[in-house]
Amino acid sequence: MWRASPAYYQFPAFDDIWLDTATYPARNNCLLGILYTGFSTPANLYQPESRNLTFKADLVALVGQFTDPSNPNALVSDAADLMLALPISLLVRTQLKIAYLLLGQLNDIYWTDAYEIYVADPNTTNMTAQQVPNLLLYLFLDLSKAAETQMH
Amino acid sequence: MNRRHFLRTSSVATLGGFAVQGFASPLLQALRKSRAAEDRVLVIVQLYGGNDGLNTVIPLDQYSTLATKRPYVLIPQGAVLPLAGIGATGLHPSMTGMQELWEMGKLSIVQGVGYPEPNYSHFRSTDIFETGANADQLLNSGWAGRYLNMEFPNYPAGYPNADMPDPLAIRVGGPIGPALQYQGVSMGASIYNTNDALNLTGNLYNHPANADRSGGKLSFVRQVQRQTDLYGDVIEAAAQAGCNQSTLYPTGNAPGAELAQALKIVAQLICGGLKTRIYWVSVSGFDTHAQQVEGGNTTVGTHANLLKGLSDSIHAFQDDLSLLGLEDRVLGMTFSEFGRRIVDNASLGTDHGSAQPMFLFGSQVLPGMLGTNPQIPSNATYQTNLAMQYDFRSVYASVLKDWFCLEPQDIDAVLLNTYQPLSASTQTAAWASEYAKPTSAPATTC
Repeated sequence: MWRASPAYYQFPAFDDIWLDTATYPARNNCLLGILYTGFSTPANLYQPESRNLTFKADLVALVGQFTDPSNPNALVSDAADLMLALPISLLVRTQLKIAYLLLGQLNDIYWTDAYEIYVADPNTTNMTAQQVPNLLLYLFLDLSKAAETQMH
Repeated sequence: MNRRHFLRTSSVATLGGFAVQGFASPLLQALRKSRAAEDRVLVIVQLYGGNDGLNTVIPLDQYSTLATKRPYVLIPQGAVLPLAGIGATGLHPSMTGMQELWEMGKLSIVQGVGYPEPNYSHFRSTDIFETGANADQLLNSGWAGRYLNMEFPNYPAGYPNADMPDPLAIRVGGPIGPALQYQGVSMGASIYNTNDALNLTGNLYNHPANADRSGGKLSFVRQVQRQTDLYGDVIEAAAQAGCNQSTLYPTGNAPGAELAQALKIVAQLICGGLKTRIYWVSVSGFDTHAQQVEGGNTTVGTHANLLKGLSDSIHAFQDDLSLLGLEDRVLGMTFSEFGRRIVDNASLGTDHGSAQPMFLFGSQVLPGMLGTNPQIPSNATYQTNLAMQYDFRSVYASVLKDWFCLEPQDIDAVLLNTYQPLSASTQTAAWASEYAKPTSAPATTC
């Protein structure tokens, strides 16, 4: 956690010890767990209903709470606000949008169409719309690798 | 176990039951040096958007029919660049660079590349081309990722190592796409920041850190990230050691400057000694539904600029490799997620289609054209698409067989089915004797 300012006697680097080459990969694995693999409760818990539960971010539900998720520009802005402790430029947001939500295309409508079909029917047989959860996953995985993410 | 895999795993050799750790055998060294396939590099140029093949490689024998089907975007016959040796096929007028590569025997055109039951969605068709899936199949690994897994099993566990100290693949100028994934593992390193040729490990989030305390912390986090980045140092060392010789790369506002910058970095890193097998670069913007050409002059406009950028960049890249003495080690390949419709539209554009021409480039390609000009049916309607001549996975199979020297069963394992590699014997006999053949003896033997 980034704090405003450490106590004077903690200078110069006391507030840096939370992150090193051991804790950084561990923190990354934690983010990977939240976004990709999920976390499971142990199989030997006392209460049966608590065993083997998997927790994983539901990114479609998450972006459903954003201001305008069918607009890829707004979606990337909201995702960056959520994930990153410092703002990123429009240029980087646009690169993220094209790379992940538009898969290299330049027209926003391709995301909007796929997203709206998917949200209307998550069991859609439309193979383009079926890619929506994965498009979101790779966007969030990329955001999770930014140094700005670690500063929350 | 084939020879390559034997050599790769031979740093722990067993002699009479005794394990001998990594002894330096001149014989093994010599064998390693002779493994030509392991020095080979594949450079993939992805054209996002669906390239209009009929305005890229133009079928002049169909010109009169084409003229009735494409009243808005048709290139004037006289402006089409001729391809020496085959009169019936030409290139878009802005592709002088690739025309020159053709004349130097460094360009191969594969006509009519596609797949059965084509999908006209960018996302889906990109996914199909990158994963090597059938139209009705979802795969979670990429074809190049499966190839790299075959050569470097268990990656990333145990990597980097003495045999493969460098990234298996490098994506320049974008994120690592589905093609380089294998079972949730990204098989490559990504260089997003292409503007600083000596600081190539910078990722997308490369804002200068603020001068306040938050900036200090940001710099600290980045420093720790860099310390955990296994490949950052080797990439930077290669960038420092490598160089470029060509002065032909487009720069500034010239079409293709971004692609040229990415290819320039690829040449620099190969020159710098990386053993990386696959480099992946891309260009966006081929989705030319409207204003593909300028009204009144179809030889200029969006598509002309895209093709000029592509052609000039690849030409400069080949020039660079030639000057650096690296040409015989590098094979290039272009692809797009699909071609475009035969019949154009009144917005001076073309809509999503199916089969497309692919380019293979480099001193080691069999120069010429594979397949025939696409047939334009005289009764073609707006819905009509070009017929497929080659499955895209047959092109991949050829690269795996002839360039990376895979055995047939390994090719099947990578492509998840059997695809017939392209046969050189069906190549159009294109070469008039006055045109140069590759200057060095082809090294494409396995």
